[in-house]
Amino acid sequence: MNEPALILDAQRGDLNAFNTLILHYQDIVFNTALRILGDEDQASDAAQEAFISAFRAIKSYRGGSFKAWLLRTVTNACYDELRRQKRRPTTPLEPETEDGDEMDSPRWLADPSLSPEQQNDADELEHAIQHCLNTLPTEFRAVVVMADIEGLDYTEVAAAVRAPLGTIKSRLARARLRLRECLQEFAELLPAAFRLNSDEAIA
Amino acid sequence: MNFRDIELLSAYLDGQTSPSISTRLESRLKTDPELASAYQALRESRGLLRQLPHRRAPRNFTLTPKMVGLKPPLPRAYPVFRFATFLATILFVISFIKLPSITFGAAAPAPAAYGVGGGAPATQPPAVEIFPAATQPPATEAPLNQMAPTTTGAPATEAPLNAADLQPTATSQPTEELTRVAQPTAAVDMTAKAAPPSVPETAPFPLSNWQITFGGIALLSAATMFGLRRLAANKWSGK
Repeated sequence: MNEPALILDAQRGDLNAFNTLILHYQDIVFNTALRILGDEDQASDAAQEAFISAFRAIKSYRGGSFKAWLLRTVTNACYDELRRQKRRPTTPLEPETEDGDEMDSPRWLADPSLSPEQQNDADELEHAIQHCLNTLPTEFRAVVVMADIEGLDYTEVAAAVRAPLGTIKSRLARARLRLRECLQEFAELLPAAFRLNSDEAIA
Repeated sequence: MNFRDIELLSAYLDGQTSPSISTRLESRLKTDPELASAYQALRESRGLLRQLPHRRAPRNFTLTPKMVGLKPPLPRAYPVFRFATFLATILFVISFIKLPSITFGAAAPAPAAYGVGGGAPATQPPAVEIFPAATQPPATEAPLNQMAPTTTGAPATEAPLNAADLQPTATSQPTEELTRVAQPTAAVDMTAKAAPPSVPETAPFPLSNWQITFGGIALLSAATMFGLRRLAANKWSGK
């Protein structure tokens, strides 16, 4: 894929060129939205909105990492969605316990393609992490999703969230610490995953 | 250990520290268990996040022209026709604004000949001659409407007289006719009704050659614009 040529064509209004770029980046854009929003349908909507906004604003793209530019658009779409949710809160999908607390890993969310045990481990890990991600402030969440989940480097993350490099470092460190604290609460739910990483020695 | 150390450890974890800072941190990690524990915590957090399954997009997010509000590019000749339509329409309208003075100038002798052009002729004998004529079948409405605006200067005093005199010859609804006659133009209305049918009729607001030309250009250009737009849309949607 000749990305610069496709971007140039898209800037001239060629929708087919932009659609080629979409096909290349749609997974990362969707996954970023999913981890920020924590809901597939909302993530899907945010990704679509982001691509529409990106096409309309592509003339303002002035070089640099196109991936970071796209992720900035999707991050903004996610922020909009989160603001909208704050204004109009919806009922959570998770069932509640008798005390009114949300159940983090309801059994009815299980994927039947895996064995019950595997399913349980995978789901609990994912749900626990997503739960902890959701507890982070939005700006921390966006940084940690892009850096640790999507694997962007610091300069790309800085470009995507339009913040200085020092801010990115600070947010990332805080987000990782908070995540660690949050995940401690799920220690008994995720023993294998934790031990797997805990055994790694400091070089 | 302070938060600055945590920041450095986090950056060190990602290989984002300078070599000198990295060397210093490595020596501290060997001697400071608290720092080593914090480093381990950061590393575990990152490791867990990297274990998250990478979800694929549930569908393609490709865009359609409708989604982004794209319109087909217009042909190069389109602005020319648009300008021609605009100009011809303006000229066509202007030609109508100028028309009344020209038309009425040409048609002026007719009302004068009928004795309804002004107050003076209405009081002259021709007005008397009208009464015998009023017994004849009433004139059609077309000359009525044509002449009504020209008779605003007619004396109001004549209205009741003429209306009353003509009452027996009024067509079907005499009372309604009388109520309408209460307006100042009614007097002339009646005299106009009494006009002899043998008067030669001129076409109302005849179109001049210029008007026909401007109107034709405007219509043709608009039709061409429409055709070009449709052609471009068909071509664009088919590609």
